[in-house]
Amino acid sequence: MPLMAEAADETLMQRYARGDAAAFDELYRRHELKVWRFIRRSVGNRASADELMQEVWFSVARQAPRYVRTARFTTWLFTLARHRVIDAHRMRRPHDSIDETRTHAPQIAEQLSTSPAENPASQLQASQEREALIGAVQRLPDEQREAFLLQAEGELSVAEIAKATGVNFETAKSRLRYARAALKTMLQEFA
Amino acid sequence: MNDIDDDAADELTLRYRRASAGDPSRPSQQTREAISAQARKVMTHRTTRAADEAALAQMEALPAANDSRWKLRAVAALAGIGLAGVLAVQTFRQAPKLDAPAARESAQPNAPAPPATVPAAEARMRAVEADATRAAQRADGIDRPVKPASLQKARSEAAPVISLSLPASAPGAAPLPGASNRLESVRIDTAAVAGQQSPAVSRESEAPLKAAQDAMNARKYDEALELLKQAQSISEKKPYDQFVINEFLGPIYARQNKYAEAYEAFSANADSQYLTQGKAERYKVLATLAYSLKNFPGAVEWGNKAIAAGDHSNELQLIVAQSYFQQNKYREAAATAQVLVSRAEESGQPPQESNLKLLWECYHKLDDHHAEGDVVEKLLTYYPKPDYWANAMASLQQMPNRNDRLTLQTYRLMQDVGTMKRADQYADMAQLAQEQGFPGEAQSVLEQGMAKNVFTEQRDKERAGRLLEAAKKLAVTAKQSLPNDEKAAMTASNGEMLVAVGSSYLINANEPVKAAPLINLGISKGGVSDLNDAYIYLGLAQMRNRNSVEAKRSFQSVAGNDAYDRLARLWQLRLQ
Repeated sequence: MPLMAEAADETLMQRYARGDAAAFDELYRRHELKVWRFIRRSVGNRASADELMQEVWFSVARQAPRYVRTARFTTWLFTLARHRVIDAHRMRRPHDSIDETRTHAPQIAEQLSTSPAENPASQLQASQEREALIGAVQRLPDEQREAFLLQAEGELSVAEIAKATGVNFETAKSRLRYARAALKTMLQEFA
Repeated sequence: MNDIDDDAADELTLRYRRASAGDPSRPSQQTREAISAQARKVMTHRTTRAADEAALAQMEALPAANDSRWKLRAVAALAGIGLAGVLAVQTFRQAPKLDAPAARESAQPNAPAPPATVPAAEARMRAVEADATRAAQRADGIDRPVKPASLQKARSEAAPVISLSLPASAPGAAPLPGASNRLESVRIDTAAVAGQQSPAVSRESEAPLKAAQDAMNARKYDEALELLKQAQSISEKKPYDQFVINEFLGPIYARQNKYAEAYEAFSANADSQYLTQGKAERYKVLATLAYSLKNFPGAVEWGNKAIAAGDHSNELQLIVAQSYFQQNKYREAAATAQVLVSRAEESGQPPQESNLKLLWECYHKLDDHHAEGDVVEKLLTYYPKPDYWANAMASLQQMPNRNDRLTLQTYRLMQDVGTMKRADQYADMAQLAQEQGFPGEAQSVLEQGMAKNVFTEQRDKERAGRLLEAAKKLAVTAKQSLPNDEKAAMTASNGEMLVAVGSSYLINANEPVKAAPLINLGISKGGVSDLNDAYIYLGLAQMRNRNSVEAKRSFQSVAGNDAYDRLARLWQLRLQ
């Protein structure tokens, strides 16, 4: 039996389904932060993110016996996380379509132009860039943010993003392209 | 130019990952612990359940074992539902033999007959309970007090018909959506149990109870409570005395807005043998009080008892559904709310919007997207609001087994109901239309997008412009080739090309009159690879020809694919 750290995610799922709690712990350790950041960036609110994080991993635990290896575990995991995020959006505004939940917050560049960061120390600048980048990701329209995060956090390929989001390859690719273009625009200040 | 030629992370993604690595945000410790605990709990439950199922399977193989299980369940039920009865039996067993045997027959307690709708196990238990009571009486020779005329009169006065109106919720309690603001007036007819055929209060309790009744009638509730406490403290009081005390206490507390105390008093008598009438009403009062007190398990218990006792009011059904929901028992909540919806539909009435929303919420919590979509469909059927269309489209977009054809069909419906808003949606629809041989549609979509100024970024504008130019040229060619394509389709070996040409007449040339018969012919000819898609085109053509009956029939022909089924049903709603 391979060591826990060497075992594939899919193997760990099977082990957990058979009653190995340590396998679940290892899976969680591997993917905790990626899933957390995907959720956190998608819902914005820390409390909601905590709640959704629990729901996602509760689902993983619940569905383990039915888990069938048809795709990479991460694709399955992030599809699960995505569904929870969509649910959360719909819960928050039950009459809005997921397509309507994107925010129209002012561009981050506009905000930065009025911030007191004109002569920042390099460390401060790095910190601000981090905040600006993360903030910009959070301001993307839902579908673009989702595509970007699935690639950046979930390390999903375009084909896997298409599968996880239920769109065709070209649409997934196009969403990624739109997301990157929008991020570049928002981050011009830091170029 | 293509920005994403492969799946390798670009510079922006790497920058993001670096930024993310420096982000100190983490799930809370509480969340981590909850996840770890749940993982273990689920695992243990799974293991235990597997063992239980194995044991159960073994037991079911043996008839004798089956019988034992029933007995075990019966004992458990006795402990729960028959507690009042058992206590009564025990009390009777201890009762002194003070009265004349002549009164015995009339004084026998009436064990309530099980209502027709009570589950079999409970009915059996009630029969067991009644038998036990009667057996105990026979064995112990229990007698009842003689009923002199003066006492009988006093009893009649002390056992008034009480009409009680309670507010539906106590201050601070969760509101009951859809429920009326007041409980219907509840009559607790203690006169019935205190009548000629009924037991009497003891001599010791008679005076304070009569005084308490007078105080109640004079609305001197504190005084009445004081007198009832006196009656309560009488050591020689009989079960029937306690029953009457509780019957007085309940309404008094309710009138004083002391719902917890009222609940206690009402519930103490709910299953009493002396309460031979109005059981369903009593249970309903208790369910409502329990809900008001946020005692949701209690609300479910009493509510279900009321339903079993014959209360089929929507108000009660909603209380039970809401109470399940409040306990996160979404499956039970959905089943209970579904009764409300079905009841309305069966009577030819539209289900209440709030009930449908409750049902929707339940399925949403259960992650049952299919059922959720069904409820949204019902909402659209009865309350066709744009918001519900947006949700229906979102639900459709999330359905599995989608392909490009279905995506394009979905965009068409989105366009029809006005939920298409964004540049990427317009661009994606145009792209798909072009790829599937509908440049005329691509042209039309892009022109609409431009007219609505959805393309705000320069790059999007340029891309849309290029796509539009190409679409315009192809659209002209596609239209010009239609007559020749039609001829070729007629002689083709199967109906595939006829459907394609018919669809092109419909979408590219906007000629539904020519389109419908061609698609129909194609379907009849057979060999169509995507029959569901063909039926959608046929339905759309007939719809545009204002032939709603035929269009409906075509949409109803869609089968075997959940997403297409949903799409077809949504188009049918557009026919209304």
